[in-house]
Amino acid sequence: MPIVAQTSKFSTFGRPVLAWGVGLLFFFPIFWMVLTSFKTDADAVKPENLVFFTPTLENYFNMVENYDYWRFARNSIITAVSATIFTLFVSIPAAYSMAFNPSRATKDILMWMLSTKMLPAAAVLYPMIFLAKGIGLYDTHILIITVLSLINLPIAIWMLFTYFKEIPRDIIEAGKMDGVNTWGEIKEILIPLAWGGIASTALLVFIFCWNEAYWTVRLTTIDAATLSKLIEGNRAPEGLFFGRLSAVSTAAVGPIVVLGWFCQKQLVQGLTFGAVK
Amino acid sequence: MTHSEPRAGQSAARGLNDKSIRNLFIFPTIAFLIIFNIFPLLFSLYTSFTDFRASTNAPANWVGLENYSYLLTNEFIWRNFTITAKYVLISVTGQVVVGFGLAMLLNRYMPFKGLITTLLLLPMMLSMAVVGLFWKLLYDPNFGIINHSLGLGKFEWLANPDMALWAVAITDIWMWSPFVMLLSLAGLSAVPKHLYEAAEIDRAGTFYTFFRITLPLVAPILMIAIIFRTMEAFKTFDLAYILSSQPTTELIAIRLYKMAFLEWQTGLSSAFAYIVLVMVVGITMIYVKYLNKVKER
Repeated sequence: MPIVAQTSKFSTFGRPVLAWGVGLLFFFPIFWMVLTSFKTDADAVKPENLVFFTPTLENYFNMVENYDYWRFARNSIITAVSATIFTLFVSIPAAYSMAFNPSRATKDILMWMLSTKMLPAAAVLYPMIFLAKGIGLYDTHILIITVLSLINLPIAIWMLFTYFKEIPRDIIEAGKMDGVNTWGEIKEILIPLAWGGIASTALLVFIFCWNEAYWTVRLTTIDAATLSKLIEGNRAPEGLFFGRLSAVSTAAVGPIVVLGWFCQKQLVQGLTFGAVK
Repeated sequence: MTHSEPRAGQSAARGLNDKSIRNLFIFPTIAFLIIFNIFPLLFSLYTSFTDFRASTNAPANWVGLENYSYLLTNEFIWRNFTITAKYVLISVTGQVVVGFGLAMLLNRYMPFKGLITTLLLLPMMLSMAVVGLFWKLLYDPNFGIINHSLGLGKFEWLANPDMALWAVAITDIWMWSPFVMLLSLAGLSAVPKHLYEAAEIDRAGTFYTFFRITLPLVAPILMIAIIFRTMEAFKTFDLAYILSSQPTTELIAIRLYKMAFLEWQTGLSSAFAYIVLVMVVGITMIYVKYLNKVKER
């Protein structure tokens, strides 16, 4: 979008070249990680062999065989998907009622919800472990799903609230006049109208759940351990196992990067709270 | 402010009136948040007045305000606060400068702009744990690509007490500048074009146009980005914990974690957590007040 009508050499050539340069610079660490994952540990510590090396899948085979990758991946999928669904299930009605039936306390409730995200996690970690062990849920999917939902609930409600508020109230009122009940309003009117916003929220919550590494690492041992736990377990001393670490990293973030690439529009919408359409 | 009072007869047909819908729908969320927030908070509040250690079975002894007075009169936690403040400042400033710069750069038509944006979005999608892990490889003094491509020899990044915090901040800037860029782009695209046309007719300089038109109009949305990033930077744990073990990168969250789970001073760490909580709430309230001011303009 040309804002200033001047056309200088910079805007025709310099700007795109600079933009591409910066784009590639930002992409480089990821490219490097993926590239290193196809190198043997011996090749990986020779940065001078930039791209000239014999690619190998050894690291990936090793990961699947010795590190039980699929178990961690399965747990990640189970917990992230369930937590996303559960979060939406709870947050859509809450955001609906706050957007269309606001009370004087609505603003305070929203602020309070956001404030629950401000506490450093270490402060509530021990009580949570204590609680989890007390009710026998430590290292279970249910616990991880609950915690992930809890972490993302405030942000999901905020996002949905922002989207719902943009829907003209008249449309909802018209539904009421036609005798549609509350459930109908949500299902027939709200969800179809706010579909883009809901999809963005779901995508973002899913990414956050997938990437969560603090709670998932510390509230699991084996049974419910996610890919974050696999990553955490592979922190090695400097200069060791570059190829293997890169493979584990690539395999852990791969699914999410592919998903984000194809749903970029929703991702941008979600991250900007709907400011970018 | 209740919008419409339920009309008799109709409300019976719908089954629920506005107020009960409101209560019914928000209740699960509030109950859920209370159970998992209030319990840990009360638990921590109690232990903060005791000498409880979660590693032993010894019963907790009530020590009154001893933990608080110990923490508030000791120098070491102020060091952690200083480090955190420095980190927040470096990393958020870096993200705003780089992110806003990127937005200014990309705010024109250019070939394959979508693809560049996609490349810039990728870092944000990664998990902190993974970013920490492979940036450690990038920073490696002997085999890392950063030293190799910049010709820095065996320069120490993460094991160097003076450099480690910067290295963590650089990684954070790499990861989150694109977030600031996205919000800035949204703000830039909302600036009315005619303002620039008017400025051009008046032969206003580039700097004048930037500081008098662009920046003030993007400020509110930029402020949202700054608030979010500050909150996150303040809480930073995983990234710094994985990347560096230097005392110069011991952020509040790391100190808190070590106190609770490596030294097992559960009572003391709870008191520390409460001090942090009070600070965070204070900072946030100032922020929100400021944001509301910006919004009102």
